[in-house]
Amino acid sequence: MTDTTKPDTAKLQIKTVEELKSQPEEYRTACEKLVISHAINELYGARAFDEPAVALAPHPYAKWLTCRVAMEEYGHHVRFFELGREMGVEADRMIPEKTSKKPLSIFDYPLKTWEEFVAIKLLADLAEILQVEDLLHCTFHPLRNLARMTMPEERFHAQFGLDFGAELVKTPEGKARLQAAVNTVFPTMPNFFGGAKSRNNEIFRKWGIKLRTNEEMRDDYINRARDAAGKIGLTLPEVAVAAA
Amino acid sequence: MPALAADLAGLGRFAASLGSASWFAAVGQDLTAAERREGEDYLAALALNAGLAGVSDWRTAEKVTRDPNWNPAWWNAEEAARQALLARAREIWGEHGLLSALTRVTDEATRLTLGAASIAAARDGIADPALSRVAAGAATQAAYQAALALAAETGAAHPFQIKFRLFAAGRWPLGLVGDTFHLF
Repeated sequence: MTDTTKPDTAKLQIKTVEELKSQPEEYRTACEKLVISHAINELYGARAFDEPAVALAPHPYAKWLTCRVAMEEYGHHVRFFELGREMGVEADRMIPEKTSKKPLSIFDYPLKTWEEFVAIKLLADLAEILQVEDLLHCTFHPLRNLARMTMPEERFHAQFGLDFGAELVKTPEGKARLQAAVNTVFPTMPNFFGGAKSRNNEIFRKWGIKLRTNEEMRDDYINRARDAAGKIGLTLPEVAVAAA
Repeated sequence: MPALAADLAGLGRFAASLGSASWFAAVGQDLTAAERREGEDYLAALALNAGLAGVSDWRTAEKVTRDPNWNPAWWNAEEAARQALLARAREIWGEHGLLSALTRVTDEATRLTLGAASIAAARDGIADPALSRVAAGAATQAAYQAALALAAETGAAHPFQIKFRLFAAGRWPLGLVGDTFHLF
């Protein structure tokens, strides 16, 4: 049975992995879940989108930049993986092909065009920014510090989507292709934030690991995604708002 | 199967040596005769019939890499060479050991090259995080390709080994536009 007493998160500041070991099981499990989820999804994302996108990129500048972004995403996986190992998480639980834990459904999307990749960077990496932002004041400091370390790169990846998006919309054909990609990619994004009555999210907030409810994050995301798309003259499909 | 640990350890040594490369230290300078020869040998090894031109500054380098008239024959020739090497290296070493060793190389190159590119660009008055990442991506790719060439037991005349020597000497091969190959 779960203890529903809310701890004083102002006092609960776990500075090291060593300190984590003496914390209640619910807290340790919650931290593990987040670390495992990030480790799996960072690696899966690099494999499903960033690596294949190198071949789709239109010129060497875009190809090499995509190479770099892929390596940075892979590097995020390594950082979360290493933290997980320090915490005592078995390696196999953090490798997509070795764990039964499913990656996010967005990764089922079969990448076919450069425009789709740009839309994914613009919209999916923005979603990732929100997830990482929510960890910036996490009571488990090693996770908080990792979030702070990866944030500048996550912001750069979303900017990548904006910059190449701005390049694509210079022609009517490019804009139409990118809008079509946004229309396809965006409806999968609101699910990225989990269910409205998520028990996990409740526990994360109870312990000050995360700050916001899934609904708050989803609403914020939709607003910020609309702003980002609007900056380059694109719109978001209405269906996604309804799906949220 | 050859002695796995002994030879893939060579890739470990290669990874460890990446810190001593002069990443981007000579970009923009006039090409030396030796660098021209290396560039010509690289093109010949990829069976590309192209002239060679130096590039003198970062903004021109950026334009070359974004040129809509860039010639994909060069990229495709490299990709065909990569696929052939990968198949051969897998045969020799097996998938897992090879990928682990290559990952060590790319991790190390990723760690080293962005700072080097940023410093070199800043020296020329350029503060452009995207362009520095492009340069770092190119350098990491070159390190990976050279490591693959080592794993596939090619000689020093393989185009990936030549290309890496150019990077290690502080240059950045930018690619083929029309029938001219640009070397920064």
